[in-house]
Amino acid sequence: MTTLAPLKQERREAPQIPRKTASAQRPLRGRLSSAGLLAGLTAALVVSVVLAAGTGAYMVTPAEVLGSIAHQIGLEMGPLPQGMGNAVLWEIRFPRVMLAVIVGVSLACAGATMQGAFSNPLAEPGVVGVSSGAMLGAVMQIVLGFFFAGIWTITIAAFFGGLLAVLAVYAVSRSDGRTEVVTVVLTGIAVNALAGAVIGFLSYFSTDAQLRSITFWMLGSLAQASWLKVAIVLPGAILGLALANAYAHQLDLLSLGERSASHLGVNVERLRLAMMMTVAVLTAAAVAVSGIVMFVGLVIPHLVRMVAGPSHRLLLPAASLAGATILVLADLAGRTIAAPAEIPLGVLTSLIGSPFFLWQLRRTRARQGGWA
Amino acid sequence: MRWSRTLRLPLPAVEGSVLIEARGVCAELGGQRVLDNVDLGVCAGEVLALVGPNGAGKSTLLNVLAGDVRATGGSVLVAGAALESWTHAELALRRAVLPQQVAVAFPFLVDHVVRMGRSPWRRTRASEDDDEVVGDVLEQADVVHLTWRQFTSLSGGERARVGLARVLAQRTQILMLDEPTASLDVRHQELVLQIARSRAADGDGVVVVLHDLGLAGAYADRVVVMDQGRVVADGPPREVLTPSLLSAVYQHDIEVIPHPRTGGPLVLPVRPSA
Repeated sequence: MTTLAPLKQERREAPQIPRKTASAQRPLRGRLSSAGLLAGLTAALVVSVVLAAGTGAYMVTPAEVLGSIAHQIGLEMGPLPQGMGNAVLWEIRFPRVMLAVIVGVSLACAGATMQGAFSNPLAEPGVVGVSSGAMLGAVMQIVLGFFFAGIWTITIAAFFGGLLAVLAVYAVSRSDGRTEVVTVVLTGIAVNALAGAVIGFLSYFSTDAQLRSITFWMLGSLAQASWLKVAIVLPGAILGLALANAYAHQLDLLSLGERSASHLGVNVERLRLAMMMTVAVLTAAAVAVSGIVMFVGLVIPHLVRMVAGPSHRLLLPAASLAGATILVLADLAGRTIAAPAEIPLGVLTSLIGSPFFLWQLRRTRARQGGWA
Repeated sequence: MRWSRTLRLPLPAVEGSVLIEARGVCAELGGQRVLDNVDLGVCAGEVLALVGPNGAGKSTLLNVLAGDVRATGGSVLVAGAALESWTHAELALRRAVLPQQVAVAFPFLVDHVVRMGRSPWRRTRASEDDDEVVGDVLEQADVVHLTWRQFTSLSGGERARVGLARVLAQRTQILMLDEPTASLDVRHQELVLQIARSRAADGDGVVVVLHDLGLAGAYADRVVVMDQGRVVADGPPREVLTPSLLSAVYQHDIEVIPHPRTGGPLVLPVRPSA
C-alpha cells in the first residue's frame, strides 16, 4: 500500500459557542525538563557510588576512588589509593556497589513497570509476591541442586518463580480491565504465604550451608557481593531495562484502561505478556543476588512520578537512576551505621518503606471512597 | 509482528459509502443473548443515533463494532474487510471510541492525554500535524483552559470532554461515542452533538449512543431504535420517533410534538398533570 497524506488537514470550523478565555499557558514552574532531571539523577548516582566505594573500615578518599578507576582503564590520572586501598576497592567495594546499582535499577524499574501494567500505584514486586516467587525458584535451585545453565541457573530459576507469581497475581486480581487495589494486596498475601510455606518446607530438608544462604536471602542483603554475582545478574537487568523502556509509550496508553488502549492500536494481550516477563526478569535479577528487598519498587516510582510526571518514557529511566542511588546509599548506611555489624539491606528498606506503604494505602482508599 | 508487514493506511472515503457494518450480528453476555441478528451500517457523512431502553444492547453493539466484544454470530466489516483482518494498529487509524467512563490511572496532564489520541499516527506522515490537531480538538471540546491541569484533578464533565478531545484527536473516519452527553451540562451536550455534526459534514461517519431522544431528533441524520437486542426501527428522526413506537419500546407513554418554530420532533414522556 502506498502511504497517504493525512486525510483531513483543513482546519475545521469549530462550532459557534462562546468560549472561556482562560489562558492555556504551560506553567513554567513545577516540572523540570526531562534532560535536566536525568542529568541531575545521574550526577547523584555517580556521587553516591564514589562515596560508597570509599567508605568503610578502610577509608579511601573520593579522589583516590576516581584515580583508581582512571588507572584501571589505562588513564594515568589522579592519585592511587595507599596500601591495600586498590585491592579493597576492586575486590570488595566495587562489586558490592555495582550490585547495589543493579538491584536498585531492577527493583525500581520493575515497580514502575508493574504499576503501569496493572494501572495500579500499589503494585510492587515485593508486596504482591513476585519477589517471593522468585526467591522460591532460587531456593528450590539451592536445595534441589539442579543445574542447567551454569552460573545463570539460579537467576533463571528465580525468573520462572517470579513469572509464575506475577501471572498468578495478574490472573486473580484482574477485573474489568483494571486491577483493584485490595485484590492485588490480598493476592500478594496469599502468594507470599504460599511461597513462605514452600521455602520453610524446603529449608527443613536443607543442609547447614544451604540453610545459611536461605536465611541470608530472607533478609535481603548485598554482603556476599562478588564480580561473579555481578556477571550473574547483569544480563537479566539489562534485558529487563531494555524491554521496559521499549514499551514505555504503550504503558502510557494502558493507563487509559485496556479498552481505550486497544482502540489506540495497542495489542493489550501482547503488551501484558511482555510486561509480565519484564517484571519477572528484573525481579529475578534483583532477588538472585540480594534476596527480598521490599518497597524500593513502590517508593521510588511514586516519588519520581511526583517530580517527573507519570509518563513512562521519563519515569522508567528516572526511577531506575533514583533506585540505584537510593540502594547504593541504603547499602552504605546498612554497613556503616552499626559497624562492624551489618544491618541487612532488606531490613533497612522495609523499615522506611512500610510506613510509606501504609500512607499510600490510606491515601488510595480515601481517593476511592473506601473499599467494602 | 509490527514490522512484518506495512501498515495499511486508510483511504479517503466516498460520501455515502458504508464505513463500518454489522451483518447479522449476534452476541451473548454471561449466557444471555444480548444481540439478535443485528444489521447496521454506518455511512460516511452521517450522524447515526443509537437509542433504546436500558439493556437494549446499544453499548454491546458498539462494543462489537469496536472489536471489544466478539460476535457469536454474523460478521463486522470495517472499510469493506472483516474486522479480524485488520491489526490493532490499523483499526486505530479507522475508528475511535469514546467509552462511557473516561478514566486515567495516573495523574497525566490533559495535554498528554489528548496527545495519546495521536499515537496511532506515530511513524506516519500525519504525525507532523500532531500539534495542530491537538490544538484544534482542545478548542472544539472547550478544554483549552484545562490543557496543563492533571486529568485526575478534573470534574466528571471536564473529564468527559477531555476524553472526547482525545477521541477527536485520533482523526478517524469512524467515530463511536457511547453516551457522550451523560455527565455534561446543556451547553456542552449541544456542543458534543454539534461536533458530531461537523465531523459528519467533513465526511466522517459518527455513531452515537444517546438517551436523550430530543438530542437524537435534533442532531441525527438517522435514528436506530433498539429493543431487547434487536433493531426495531431505522430511519430519519421524523419517521422513527413516533409516539406509538417509542411508547411500546420504552413501556411508558411518550408524546412527540413538532417544535413550534423548527417543526423538529420534541419527544416528551407523558406525565400526570399536577
